[in-house]
Amino acid sequence: MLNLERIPDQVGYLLLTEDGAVISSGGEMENDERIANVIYGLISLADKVDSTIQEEGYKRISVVYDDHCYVICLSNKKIHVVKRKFLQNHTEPAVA
Amino acid sequence: MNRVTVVFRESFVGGEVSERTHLLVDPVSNNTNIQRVQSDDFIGCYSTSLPKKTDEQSALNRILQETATNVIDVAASDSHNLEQHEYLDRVKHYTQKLQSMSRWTPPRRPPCLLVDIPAPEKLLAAEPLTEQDLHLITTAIEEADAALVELRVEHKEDLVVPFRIP
Repeated sequence: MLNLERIPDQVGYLLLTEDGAVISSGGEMENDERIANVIYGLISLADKVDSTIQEEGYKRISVVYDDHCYVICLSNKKIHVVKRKFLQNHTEPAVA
Repeated sequence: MNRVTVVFRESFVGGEVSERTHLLVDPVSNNTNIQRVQSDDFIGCYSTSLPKKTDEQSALNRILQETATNVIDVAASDSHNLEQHEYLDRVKHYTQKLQSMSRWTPPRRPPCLLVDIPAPEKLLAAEPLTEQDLHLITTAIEEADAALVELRVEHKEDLVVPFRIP
């Protein structure tokens, strides 16, 4: 069973249906329907994906801030959102 | 809103206010049946006379009846126990019917930028953005922004030209 709480550095999570309804939430994102609506609006923004860049669609969307980020992906007809804080010793994400 | 304190005497029609009721009392005569009413109530008096009370009651009853017919009592209703085989039969039956319709397509789902992937944990736990990518995005946007600022019109020819018709 998927456990979003086990993801390292996570401080909050949201689980939505494909239509944007909240299934479960936790941590800093508990009961946050506002962010759920914003994220659903984000992934349903474009009518179609530019086929020259990406054939079907994207596997993951990240919204990156200075000290935290939101990572969004779709799996098993459910939208998974995880809020992760960056570790204190570096302010920017590591080089790949 | 201007409030007018109205003093009137009861009309002859069984204590009810009518159009014949004097609005201003005769200061000279002394009448024991004087009521003080605010102008708001004065307007209200006309609409809440006795026959209206039964209308209100019937209106309430009507609303009650409408609600009772529209309410779906989930707890009290019979649970429709559908057997597994019955369910599968129905699925087959319905899909057959749908397939026989040549022009039917499944309802179009709202567009989604994301594609369905099997194992999300690995992807969610991975590093979201590399420093190089972040740097690339930031410089690209800064250059685009600078270019936009420099956008201007170059005047080459006149837009409006008079036609010299002899």
